[in-house]
Amino acid sequence: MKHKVLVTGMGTINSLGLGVSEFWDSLDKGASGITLSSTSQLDGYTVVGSSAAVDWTRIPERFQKMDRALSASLMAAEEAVEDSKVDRDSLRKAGVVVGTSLGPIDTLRETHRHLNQSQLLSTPDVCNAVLDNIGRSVAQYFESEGPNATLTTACAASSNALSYAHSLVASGVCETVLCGGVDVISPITIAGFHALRTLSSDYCRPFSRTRRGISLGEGAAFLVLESEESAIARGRHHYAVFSGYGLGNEAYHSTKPDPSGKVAARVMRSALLMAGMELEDVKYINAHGTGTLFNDAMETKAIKEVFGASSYGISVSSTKSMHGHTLGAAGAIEAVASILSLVHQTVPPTLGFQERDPECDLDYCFEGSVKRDVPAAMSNSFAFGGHIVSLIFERGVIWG
Amino acid sequence: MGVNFLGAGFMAPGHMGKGVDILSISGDHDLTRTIGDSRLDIPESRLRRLDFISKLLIGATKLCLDDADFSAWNVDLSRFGAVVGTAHGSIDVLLDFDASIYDGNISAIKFPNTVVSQSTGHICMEFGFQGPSATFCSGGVSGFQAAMYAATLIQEGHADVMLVGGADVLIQTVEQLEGVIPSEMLPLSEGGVALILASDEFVVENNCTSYARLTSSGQTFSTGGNKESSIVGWWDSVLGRVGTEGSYDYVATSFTSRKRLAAMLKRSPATFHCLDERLGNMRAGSALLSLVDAALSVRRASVMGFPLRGTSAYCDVTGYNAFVTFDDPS
Repeated sequence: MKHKVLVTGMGTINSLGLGVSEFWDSLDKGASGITLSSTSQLDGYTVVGSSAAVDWTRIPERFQKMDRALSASLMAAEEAVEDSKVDRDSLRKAGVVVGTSLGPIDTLRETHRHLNQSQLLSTPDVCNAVLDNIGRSVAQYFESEGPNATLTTACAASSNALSYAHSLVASGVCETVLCGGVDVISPITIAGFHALRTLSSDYCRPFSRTRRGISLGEGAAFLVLESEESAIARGRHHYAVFSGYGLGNEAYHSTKPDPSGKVAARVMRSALLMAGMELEDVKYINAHGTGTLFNDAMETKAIKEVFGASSYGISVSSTKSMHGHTLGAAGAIEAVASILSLVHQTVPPTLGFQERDPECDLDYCFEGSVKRDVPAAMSNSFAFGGHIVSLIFERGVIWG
Repeated sequence: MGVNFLGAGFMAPGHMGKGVDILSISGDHDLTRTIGDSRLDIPESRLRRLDFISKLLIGATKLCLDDADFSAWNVDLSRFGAVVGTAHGSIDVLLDFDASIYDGNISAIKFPNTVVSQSTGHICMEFGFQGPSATFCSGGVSGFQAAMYAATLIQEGHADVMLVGGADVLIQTVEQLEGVIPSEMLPLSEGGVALILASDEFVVENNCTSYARLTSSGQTFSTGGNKESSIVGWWDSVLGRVGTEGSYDYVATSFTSRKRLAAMLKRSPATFHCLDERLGNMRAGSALLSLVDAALSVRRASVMGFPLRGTSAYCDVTGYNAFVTFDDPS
C-alpha cells in the first residue's frame, strides 16, 4: 500500500539565519547572506571570492564545541522535531536520512593531521571523522532506531536523501523519517571550486548575463516526513504534501552539465508524473541556479522543454543568490524554501541581476519576492557526476 | 512488482570473477593496489581521470554485465540506473587533495574525485546509464542500502534495471585503526562488487535468466551500537521477519568481528557462509558480496535441483543492521 507523504516539521540554519522564521524573513525581503572576501587565506593559498557563512557566534553554547557540520545538523533537526511535535515513541521508531557531500570535514582533516603526526587513533576518532557520523549522531541524539542512511550525491545529496526518505514512508517501512542535509565551507571546497574556475569573485548572479560562478554557502536543513495516516492519527497539520520526485543521470561529464538539458527535462517530467500533476499546477520552481554559465542556460532550456509555453507563466528563482551554494545541504535548504513559498503563497526573488541573458528568458523574480497563488512548487538539484533530482511539493493544510 | 537478480561481478587486487565462480574465489588478497588497467579496456585519456575505487567498480560492472548477458538485451538506458554503496569512498583522494592545499599544488582534475559519488557518475558515464543514480555512504551497510534502494526504485517504477555497486579501498586512516582494534577482527582488504537487479517485466521481455528473486528486506539502527546481545536480538528479529526458523536454509554474512560471527552461528541452524574469512573485509564491498553470495547460492542450488532460500544478514559495531532474502525464481 502506498502512503501519502506529508511534511510536518522543518528546521534550518544557514547564512540567512538560525531557524525557519529568520530564513523566511530574509528570503521574503531579498536579504543576502553573501559577503565579498577580497582574499581568503587557505594555509598559504589565496583565493578571491564570495561566500555565505553561518554566523557561528550565535550557535547555542551546548552545540559550540562540536564539529560544525554536526552542530548545524543537530540544531536544524531539533527545530524540525520540535516543530512537528512528533512524540517520543514515534521518534524512537523513526528513520534518519542525511545527505552530505563532505560530512564532518573539520573532524576528518583534524584526524588526518593527527595521523600524519604519528598519533595513534582510536575507534571513536575514526568513527567521528567519517561521512556517516552525522546520520548516526542525529539518530543517537533523538534515540531513533529506524533505518539510518547517509547519501552523498554531491550537490544533489540532500534531494536524494529526501527522495529516499519519501520511499521509506510511502512504502510503509517507516511512519516517520527525519531527513535533511548539511555541508560547511571548507578549504577543500574553496580550493577545489577555485581550481575549476567556478568560484565567483563577485556576488553570485544566477541567470544574469554577467554571471561568473558560485558563491559558496553552508548550513543544514531537516524535515520531518510522515505518513498521512500518522499525521491524522495525532491530529497534526502539515506544511506540504511531498508528492513526487524524479531521478536521473546525464552520463555526460564529471563536472559539466549536458547543455541539451534532455535528462534534466526527463527527470522533471517523471517527478510531475509521480506527483500526478498537470503542468499548470506548478507555479514556482526553486531552480538549482548556481550562477555558472553552463548550469543556468541548461536549466532554463530544460524547464522550457518540459513546460513549453506555460514556462513563461512560472516564477523561477535561485535562492542560492541569497544563501549561497550549500553543496550537499542545498537540496534540503531549497526544499524548505520551496515549502515556505507554498505556506506564504509568495515566491522569493533571485538577487544579483545585472543584464538579461537571451538564453535565460524566464521570469526569475529579479525585482523582489512575488505574491501569487502557488499550489505546487518544484525544486531542482544537479550535481557532479551527472546526478539530477527534482522534487515536487503541494500546498498543505495548516491550522491556526 | 518482483525484483530479480541477473548477474554479478567482482574485482579486487589479485582476484576477479563473475557469476557463481565468485563463490569459489579464495586466497589472500594482493595488496599491491593494482588490478591491471588493461583489463578495464578504457581509453588512457579517461583512465587517468579515474580514482582507484572507480576502477574497481567499473571492472566489477563489466564482469557483471557480461555475466548477465547485457549485450543481448534490448534496453532503454534512461531506465537503467546505478546505486553504489561505500563506507569511505574516495576519502584517500580527498585527503591527498587537502594536503595539496598546503603546497599550492591544487589539481582541477583531482578535485571532482574527492566527491564520494563520483564513482557512481563514472559508472554512468562509462556505460551510458541515465536512470536514477545515488550513492550511499553509511559505513559497511551501504552495500545493502544500495541494493535495497535499487529494488525500491524498480518497484516504484523509476527504473527497469539497476546496477548496484559496493566497494571500498584501504586507506591510511582505516589501516591505522587496525593497529588498535582487537586481534579478533578479520583483516581489512579492498575490492569492488557489482550486481544487477531487474523487474519481472524486463526479465520476460529480454528472456533473461533470473538467478534469484528478492523477497524481503529490512534494516534498523541500534543507537547504542551493536553488542553481542543486541546482535542476537537483531538476528532473532530477522528470523521472525523472514519466516520461522528452518524456513530459510542459507545465510551469508559480512562481519568485521569473529566474535560476533560466532554469536550468530550459535543461534542459527542454517548453513552459514562468510566470504570475509577468505577475502578479508572490504566494508561495503563485503556487505554487497554477502548479498551476492546468498543470491548465487540460491542459483547454484536451483541448478542442482533443490530450492533454497538465501538470506544475507549484516550488523556492525556502529549499530547498522540489515537483511535481504532471496528465493528461487522458479
